[in-house]
Amino acid sequence: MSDETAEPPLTPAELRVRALLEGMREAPAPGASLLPARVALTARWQRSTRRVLLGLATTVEAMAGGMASLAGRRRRR
Amino acid sequence: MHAFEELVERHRDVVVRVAARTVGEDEAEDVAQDAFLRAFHRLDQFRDEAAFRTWLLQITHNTALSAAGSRVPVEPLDGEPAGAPRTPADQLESRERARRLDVKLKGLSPAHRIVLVLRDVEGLSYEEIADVTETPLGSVKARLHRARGELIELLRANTYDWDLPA
Repeated sequence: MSDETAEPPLTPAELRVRALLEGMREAPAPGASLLPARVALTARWQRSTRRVLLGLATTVEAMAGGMASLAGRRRRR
Repeated sequence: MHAFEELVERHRDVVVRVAARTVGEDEAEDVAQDAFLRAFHRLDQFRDEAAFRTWLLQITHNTALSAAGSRVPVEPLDGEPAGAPRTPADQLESRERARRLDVKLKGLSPAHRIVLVLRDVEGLSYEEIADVTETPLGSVKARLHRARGELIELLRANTYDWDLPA
């Protein structure tokens, strides 16, 4: 049974291309040193904003429900 | 949050490199940040710890494709490429080769470029590449074969000495 995931044999030119490309892995990612701090800061900010918006939406929903209920009572009177 | 920051630290290089091959180095960091934030907000959907890198690269790939699709691509012919500093001479040669190789890689279609980058630059398995690109395994292998062939042709059409065997 053949292994579907096995690497087929590469030609010498393909092996050279692979070696050239592997060299790019050694290269450090440009300007990525501040990325973790930036991501963490933005994620915290987005999470806080989401909570505030969610809270606001819940409050508005509760108020709308209350007003609808009051309007219903008045109509029944 | 601290645990997620550690994950970003651990995977930032591969994410930025993969993003850079799709959108260019100028936009790579923004795309990487966007990909990490998308991952952060979907962390509760993620189960398999072993496949975190694959999952993250899938998000990175899709984010980079969206970013690339929203603007006209620019070919960076000049500028500082990422180099691997050793001796000053090695550093110069490495930078020049990386710059030229990056330009040649951009000559490939995005679908071919991404499989080649994930396989030969990042060392992912066929299955991981299939997951990242959401492509059947057979298509990954076929694309990889064609991509290598196209890149060889592009390199051969160049006066720079790539030391390519006949």
